[in-house]
Amino acid sequence: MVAAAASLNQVLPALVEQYRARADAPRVIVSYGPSGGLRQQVEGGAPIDAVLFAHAAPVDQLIGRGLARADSRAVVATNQLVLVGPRGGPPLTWQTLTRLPEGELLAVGDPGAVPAGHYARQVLQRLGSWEALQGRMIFGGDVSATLAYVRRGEVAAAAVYQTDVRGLEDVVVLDVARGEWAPRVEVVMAVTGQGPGGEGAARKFLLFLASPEARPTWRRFGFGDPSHP
Amino acid sequence: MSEALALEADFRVSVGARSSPFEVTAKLSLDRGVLAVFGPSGSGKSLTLQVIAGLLRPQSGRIRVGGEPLSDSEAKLQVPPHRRRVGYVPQHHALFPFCSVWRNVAFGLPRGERRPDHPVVAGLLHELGLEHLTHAMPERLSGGERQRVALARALAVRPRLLLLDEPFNSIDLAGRRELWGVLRATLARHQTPAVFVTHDPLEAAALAERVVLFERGRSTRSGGPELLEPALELVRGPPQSSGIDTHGS
Amino acid sequence: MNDPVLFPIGLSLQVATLALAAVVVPGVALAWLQARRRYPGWSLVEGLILLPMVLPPSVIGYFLVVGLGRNGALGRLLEDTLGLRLIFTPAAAVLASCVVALPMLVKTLQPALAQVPRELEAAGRTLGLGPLALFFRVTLPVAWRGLVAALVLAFARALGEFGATLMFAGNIPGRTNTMPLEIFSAYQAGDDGRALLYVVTLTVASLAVALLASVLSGYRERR
Repeated sequence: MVAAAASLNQVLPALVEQYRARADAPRVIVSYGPSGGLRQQVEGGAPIDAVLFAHAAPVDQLIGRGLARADSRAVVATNQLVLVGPRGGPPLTWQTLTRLPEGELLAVGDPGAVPAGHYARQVLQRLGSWEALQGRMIFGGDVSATLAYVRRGEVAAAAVYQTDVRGLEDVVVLDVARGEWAPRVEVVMAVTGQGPGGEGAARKFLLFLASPEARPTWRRFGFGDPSHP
Repeated sequence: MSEALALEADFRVSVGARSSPFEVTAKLSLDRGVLAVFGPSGSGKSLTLQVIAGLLRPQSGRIRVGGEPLSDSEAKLQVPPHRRRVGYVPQHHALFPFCSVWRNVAFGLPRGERRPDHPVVAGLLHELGLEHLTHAMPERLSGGERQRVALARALAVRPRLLLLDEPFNSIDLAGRRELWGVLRATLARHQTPAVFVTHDPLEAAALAERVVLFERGRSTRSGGPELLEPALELVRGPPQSSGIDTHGS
Repeated sequence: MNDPVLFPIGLSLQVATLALAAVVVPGVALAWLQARRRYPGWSLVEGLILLPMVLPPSVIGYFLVVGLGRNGALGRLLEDTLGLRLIFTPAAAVLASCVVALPMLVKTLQPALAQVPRELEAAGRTLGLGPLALFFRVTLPVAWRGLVAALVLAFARALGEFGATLMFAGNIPGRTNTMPLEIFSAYQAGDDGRALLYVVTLTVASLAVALLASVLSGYRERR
């Protein structure tokens, strides 16, 4: 059982399929959710063999508490934080967010629990607009929920990953986080070894995810290489 | 009192489930004084009082009090109980448990007159021998005292007609005899005509000038106290009506 | 109340108070109607009152979003005619709380009103009290313990609303983040200290309410 960030719910099924096509591959079950919540589950003793989060912090917290193997930690892919809006909505950029039209909201992931929200807060703090946007930001429980606010037309913009909006017709990318204020979004994995699959099998799957064999699949879904974003 | 009758009522009322309704047909009238509605329990006496008070709507018929129509099925008239000026003392006295004696008595008066020393309130408390209980709560009163308070409360709003439902049911015979005297004197002093329900022929004979007999949901006969004779004989044996004060005025 | 830690406490109290204020008149009227009248459709109304108590909060939230959201029929009507948008506002949190507080109030008050002796009311009516005066001077003074119990339970239910609030009012810090939402967010973030503050606050408040309600209903039974 692998616990994975919600932002990986498109690429991981493809990777799992690719992995299972290998004759000797064991079965892999993936459970998606907000990284913070999944980390809580691991701490609560959930039967999870490995974690795959969109942010290094929750992985490092697990390692710090001895709940994940430090030697298994690796960055497998990178991503980009983007500002998206509904098709036909107001044009906004990271820098002009403070001029959000009256009555409109910005959807971000709950920074404490959702890595995309954590990154969004980092960006807005660096741009000096976090405080000004208080009361204008609605927190999503995970990145899918954050994106759903835009897709239902309830908010003017949302901070999500580039990979989340691939192929979506009703959502447009307004702005990409680039420059020195942009966060480095990394997909980080580690073996927890407290699930039914066994540590060996978990390590084997994670090794596959980091392998050159998996790289084209990551790229196909919009993820960057670990070394250079 | 004008020429108009204190009460004219002629109606049919039906209560209970549609499948097995209990139907009451009543015809009664009173020019002045006291009318006893007499009959066994379950003969429709209490329902009759509730209809006159306006608490139940009759299926058909007419009710007039002091000449004023209060209910008329043909004219689609049904005056609500709070506009009838018809007093009602329910079977279980029903004092307001959260009100002291004087507050109970003053309950129906306009806000400004709700004072223990208001003439109407103080007068009734005095008349009914309740002065020492002015500030007592109902739960501390005896059965007889509660009846007196209920009577004072009903009379305080100067009803054109007073209805009493088995008023002394739960009181021992000695107490009851005393209360009969109190009730008679009070009604006479206030010149308030009254209709009271009872299944006790002694009580009916002691209080009423007119009697209407009820049987199985129907008023069967009406007339003077002589109608009570058969029932009285059952109670006290051979006809020797010496001790009974039939109180003809 | 600009302190981000205290804000959810103040907001929750305001939302619950407003919700209670909004449901008290219709709630008392409904409780009276259901306790005292039998009419065609009585059972249907009874069922509709109970519905929010048996429906999952997420279903209530879904109905609210679908009906009153920006793309909901009623929501669009309100926005077009009155320029009013409810979804993701503190008012939405109040409405979500109203939906769960109303049945609590009605269902607690209804038996108390049904127990008021009819003869007391009959006496009041013949003493010249119209329907309103009768209710305030006879019915309520007899059933006041039931009313207070109903009010505190409804307030507690409003204070604790989570699921429908999250969906309909959203978690907007500084605007709609009531205590239950804050607890969930803090828990997800692993910030147990922050969660604990609100957990303790809500537990103490609910315990006080439960005690008060049980004391009051105990009185009622003893009478």
